[in-house]
Amino acid sequence: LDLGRFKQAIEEALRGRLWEPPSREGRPYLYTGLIYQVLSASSGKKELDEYLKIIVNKLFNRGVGHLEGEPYSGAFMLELGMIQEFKKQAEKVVNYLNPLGEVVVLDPITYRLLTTTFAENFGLKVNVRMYHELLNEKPDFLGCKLGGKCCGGHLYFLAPTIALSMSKEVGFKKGKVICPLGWLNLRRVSEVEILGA
Amino acid sequence: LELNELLKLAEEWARREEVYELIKNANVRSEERIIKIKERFKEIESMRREVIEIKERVIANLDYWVEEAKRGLEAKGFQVHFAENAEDARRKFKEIVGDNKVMASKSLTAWEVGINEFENVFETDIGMFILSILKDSPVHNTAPAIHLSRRDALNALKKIGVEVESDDPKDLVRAIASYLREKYCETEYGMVGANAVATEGAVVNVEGEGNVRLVASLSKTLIVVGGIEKIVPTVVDAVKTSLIQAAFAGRYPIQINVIAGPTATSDIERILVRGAQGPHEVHMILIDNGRRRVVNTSLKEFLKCVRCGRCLLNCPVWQRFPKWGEVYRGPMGIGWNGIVKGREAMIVQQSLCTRCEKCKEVCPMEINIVGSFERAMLEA
Repeated sequence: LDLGRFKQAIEEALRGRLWEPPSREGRPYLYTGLIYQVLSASSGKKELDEYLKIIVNKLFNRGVGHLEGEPYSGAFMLELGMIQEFKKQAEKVVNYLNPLGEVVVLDPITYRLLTTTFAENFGLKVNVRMYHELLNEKPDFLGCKLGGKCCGGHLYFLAPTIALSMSKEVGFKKGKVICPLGWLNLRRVSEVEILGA
Repeated sequence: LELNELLKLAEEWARREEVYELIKNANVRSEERIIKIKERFKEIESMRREVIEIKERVIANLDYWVEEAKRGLEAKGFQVHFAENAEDARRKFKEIVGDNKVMASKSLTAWEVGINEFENVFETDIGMFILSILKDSPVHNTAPAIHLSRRDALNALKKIGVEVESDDPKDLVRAIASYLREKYCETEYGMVGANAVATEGAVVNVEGEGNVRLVASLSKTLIVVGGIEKIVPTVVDAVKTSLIQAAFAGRYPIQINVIAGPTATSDIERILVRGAQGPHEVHMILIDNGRRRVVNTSLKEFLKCVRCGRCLLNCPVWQRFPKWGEVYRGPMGIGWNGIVKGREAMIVQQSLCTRCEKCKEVCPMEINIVGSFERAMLEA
């Protein structure tokens, strides 16, 4: 685990080229928030990329719209104390997403960021759904952002020993999760797969 | 602390699995007690709601209530001192006590401003006493030495030459109580904290050990240290606020101590004599230290905190890193360090928050801890 690589991945995500959002077509759009790109700082990059491809294809087959050149959500910038940069990014994300009506996200961290931090502080108004709702599949482990136990994934990069201890405490041995970060953390102690992949 | 230092410290603590086990077990015991208390004493729920309303009313007009408190306390014979910041509070404390030994009951506010660092301050709370021997710092509002084992307590007592039969907690407590009992009479100075300060002219404290009453009764000069957020309008409000703190810390009913100025008697010819068997002088140091600065920010939410410490016990991060936070620990400590240490301290401390919001689920004051500190970070 490398905090430096994690920060670097965030900075790269911030530099990503922002495209114009498509015009609203009355369907949900997949907003990844580039979470998989940021998490690629971990050793699980190859597997994460594979999982992402499978999930994304399933969602596109169900009519979810594609967002080319979407902005990075700003996930973990607050935790890292990048406050001013986060505020700028949040405004960018909200302006980008608000015209879309409904977005589908791939992880509970982006879900919470949009539905809580952005909705309460930056005026985000789009409807936000977790991807598994569209796939009609149920995860075996929800995670704390969706009302379940805290698996520690949130601290995977910042405090790996705390994250590991929390993953053990969950007592989850085998099954499907919906959070790539939860997957990264829980795979250290359990047999886990990302739901839909 | 810088972020890197905090993360390093977090990793060190997380490797101490025995500490996590101690805290986890304590949390289970505490949670069981709180559930039973809430089931048995149905009035707690309505009282809790009432205390939220009282706190919000005071915080909305804090300057006014500070003046009211000053007036009410002085009318009851308190000598009121207002401390703008930590240094001011330490200076006022030193002016009152000089180099005299001061018997102190646990006060996180005194800890916040550094009063406990004076060599003449002698801790009487059992947890704080053990910590003071080990030169360690408190990790929790109501259970300051929760990260220490009975073995640690035994070793601490050995350091000061106190004989104990075994490391059974009963033996340890008896030995400490017996050791402390002799110390109370060595000085005429005492210091207590404040669970609540009534503008009608009284300070209310709840306690389990009996040391608050001993300090408050045996001192001739008593100093009360309290943050201005502890102010509530009436004595009844103060009792309710204190009881809620106790109930959600897992103790109810509990001993209550009400200090209403210097002691007095009119037993001889009904002539009032101030200064009877208890304190002859009572000083109240009302501490601001950043509190008024935040009343128009999102951090004002934290001023409602009654310091029961339940959010810490329920926090998966604090359970593994009990020294998470420089002065105030854990989830409530993020906001509180923002108040008393400043924005940067808050920004560093929150980096370890998983945003699981387990803290919000258990807070009796319904403080939206994560939402409030995130909003506060975005406000500047």
